[in-house]
Amino acid sequence: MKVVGPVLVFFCLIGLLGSTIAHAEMTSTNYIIRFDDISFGGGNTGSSASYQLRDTASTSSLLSSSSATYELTPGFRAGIYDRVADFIVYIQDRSSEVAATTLSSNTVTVTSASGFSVDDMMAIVQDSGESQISAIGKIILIAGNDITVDAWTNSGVAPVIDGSTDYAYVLDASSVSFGTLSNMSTATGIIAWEVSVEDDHGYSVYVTEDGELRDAGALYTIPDVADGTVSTGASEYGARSSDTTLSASTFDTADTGITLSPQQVSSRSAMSFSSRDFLTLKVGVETAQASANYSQSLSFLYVGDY
Amino acid sequence: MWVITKSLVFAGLFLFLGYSQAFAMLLAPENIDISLSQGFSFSFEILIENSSEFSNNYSIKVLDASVDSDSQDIVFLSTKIGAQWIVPEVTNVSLAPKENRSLLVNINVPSDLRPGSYVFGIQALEEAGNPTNISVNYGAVSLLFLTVEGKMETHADISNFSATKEFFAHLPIEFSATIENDGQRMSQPSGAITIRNLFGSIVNVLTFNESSQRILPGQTRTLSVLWGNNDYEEGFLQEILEEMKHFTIGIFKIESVILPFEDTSVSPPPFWIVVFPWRLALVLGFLTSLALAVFFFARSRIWR
Repeated sequence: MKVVGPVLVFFCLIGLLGSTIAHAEMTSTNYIIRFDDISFGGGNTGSSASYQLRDTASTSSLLSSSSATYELTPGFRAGIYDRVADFIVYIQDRSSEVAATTLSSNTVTVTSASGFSVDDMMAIVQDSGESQISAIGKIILIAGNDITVDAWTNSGVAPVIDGSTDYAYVLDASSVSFGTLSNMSTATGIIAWEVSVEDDHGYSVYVTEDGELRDAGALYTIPDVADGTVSTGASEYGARSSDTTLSASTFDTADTGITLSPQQVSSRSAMSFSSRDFLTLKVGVETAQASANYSQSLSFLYVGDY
Repeated sequence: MWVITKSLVFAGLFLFLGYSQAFAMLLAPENIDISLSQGFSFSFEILIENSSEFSNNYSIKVLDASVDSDSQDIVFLSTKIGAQWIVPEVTNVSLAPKENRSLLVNINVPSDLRPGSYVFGIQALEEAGNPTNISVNYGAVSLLFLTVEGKMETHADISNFSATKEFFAHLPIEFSATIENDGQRMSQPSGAITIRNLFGSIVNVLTFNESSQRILPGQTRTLSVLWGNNDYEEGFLQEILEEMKHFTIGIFKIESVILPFEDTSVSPPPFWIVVFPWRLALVLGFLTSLALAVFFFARSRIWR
C-alpha cells in the first residue's frame, strides 16, 4: 500500500501537466493551415469544406538539389506543386543481357558493364526461366564491372546470384521481346514501374490487354494460363507481380492471365515516394503451337485511390 | 433534381515513360462525385492533356467497377452497363504536343436504376497501333462516384474507435475508427477528435477524415488520424530527441464526434491515453542524481 501514494502523486503530476508544445501545423474542426512559418508575411495554404487557398507573398530564388535518394527544394511553400503523381514504366531490354556473377548487398558484378549507365533502371535475374527470381533497382554507381543500385525491389525473395543462368538487364526497351519461343524453356520479360504520389489515399496500378497473345491475323493464340503456373512445354501465357500484398487480383500469388478488364498489379495505401514494382511476363509453348510472330498490347493504368 | 458535384479539383496525373518523355499525359480530376435522381441527366468535364513532345491519340472509355469488400481496392468489371448511359462526347481524341482538351461526359440515369451509390471508371488510354512484340501503353482512370437519389437505406456502424495503444512516450499518436457502410449510400465521413487534459481543457482538435475518403455501400474501412505529424527513427537516442522536440506529457481523454453522413452524428465511447516521455525522464533523473551526488560529495569534503 505504501506504493499507492507515490504512484497517485506521480499520475496527478502528469495530469496536471497535460501539456504539449505548439506544432507547426494549425488545425481546427473545419480549417487547416499548412506550412506555418516564422517571421514571414502573408498566408500559406488554407482550406475548409468549401474553399481551397494557396496564396503566397513572395519567394526567394534558391537552387534545388537532389540525389538518388533525396530531393531538396528550398524556398517559400516549395513543397506545394500541382503534379500529383509520377508513373514511370521501364521495360526489359533483352539485347542488354550480360551474365551476373556475384551479388553483395546492393552491388552486382557482371561480365561487362558497358551497356549500363548511372540512373538506368536495371534488373537482375536468378535462374532465368519458369521459376526465375528477379529484382530491380536504379543504378547509382558503376565501378569496373561492379554495378551498385540504390536499393533492390524483389518479390519478397532476394535473388541469389552465383553465375549459373543468372543475368543482368537494362530496363530501357520500348516493348517486351520474348525472342524465339521454344517448348524447352519458358520465356520471360519484365515490365517495371516507379510511382511517386502525393495523394494521401495511395494508388493502384492495373494492367489490361487488347486481346490474346496472337499472330498478326489472329488465327493462332497462346491462351492465358489457367492453372496458376506457366509451365515449360505447355502453351500458356501469364504474369506474376512483385507486389505480394494484392487483395483485388491473384497476380501476387499465381501466374495469372491478363484480361480485357483491368486487373490490379500493384497497390499502396498511403503517400509514397519512388515506390517500385514489376510484372514478370511468362510464356511457354507446346510443340504443336503454330509458328508465327505473336504480339499483344498491354496497357498499364494508374488509378488514384479514393 | 439533385446535382452535386464535388472534388472537381484539378488534381491531375502525369505519366512519364522511363526511357524518354515521349509519352506523358494528364487526366483530371482523379475522383468525381455526382448525385442525380432517376431519369435525370448531367454533364461533367474531364481534362486530358498531352504533356509529351509528340502528337498522341487517346481513347476514352467508361468502365464498370466495384470495390473489394475486404479492402479499399477498386475492381474493374467486364460488364458494360455504365457505358450504356455514361457517354463521353468523343471516344477518341488527338492532341498535339502540350495540347489539352476538356471533354464532356454525359450521364443519363435510367429511370429504373435502383437508388444507391455506384462507382465507374473513366479511362483515358494512349491508343495502341498494331502491336509488335508485347507493346506497352499507358493510361489513367478517373473514378466516378455516382449516387442515384431516391428511397434508400442510409446506415453505417462505427466501431473500434481507439488509439494504437494506451501508453505513449511521444507523438505522433494514431487514432482510428472502423466504419462499416451497410446501407446503399456512399459515406464520406467527417467529424472531429477532441483531446482533453485531466481537467477537461481542450489540448487539440483533430479533423477526422480530412482527405474525404469514401466508404462505398457494403464496404468496411478503417480511417486514421494522426496527433502530431513528426516522422522519427526508432532507437533510444533518436526517440529522446523526439521526446524533447515534441514534448508532450499528461493523461488525455480522447473524445470524438463522427458524421458518417451529413445528417447522422455518432459519438463513440471516449477513452484515455497516457503520454509520458520516459526516456527523457530517465536521462534527466540520472543527470539530476549525478549532480546531487557530486554536490553532496563536494559538500561533505568541504565540511570535513
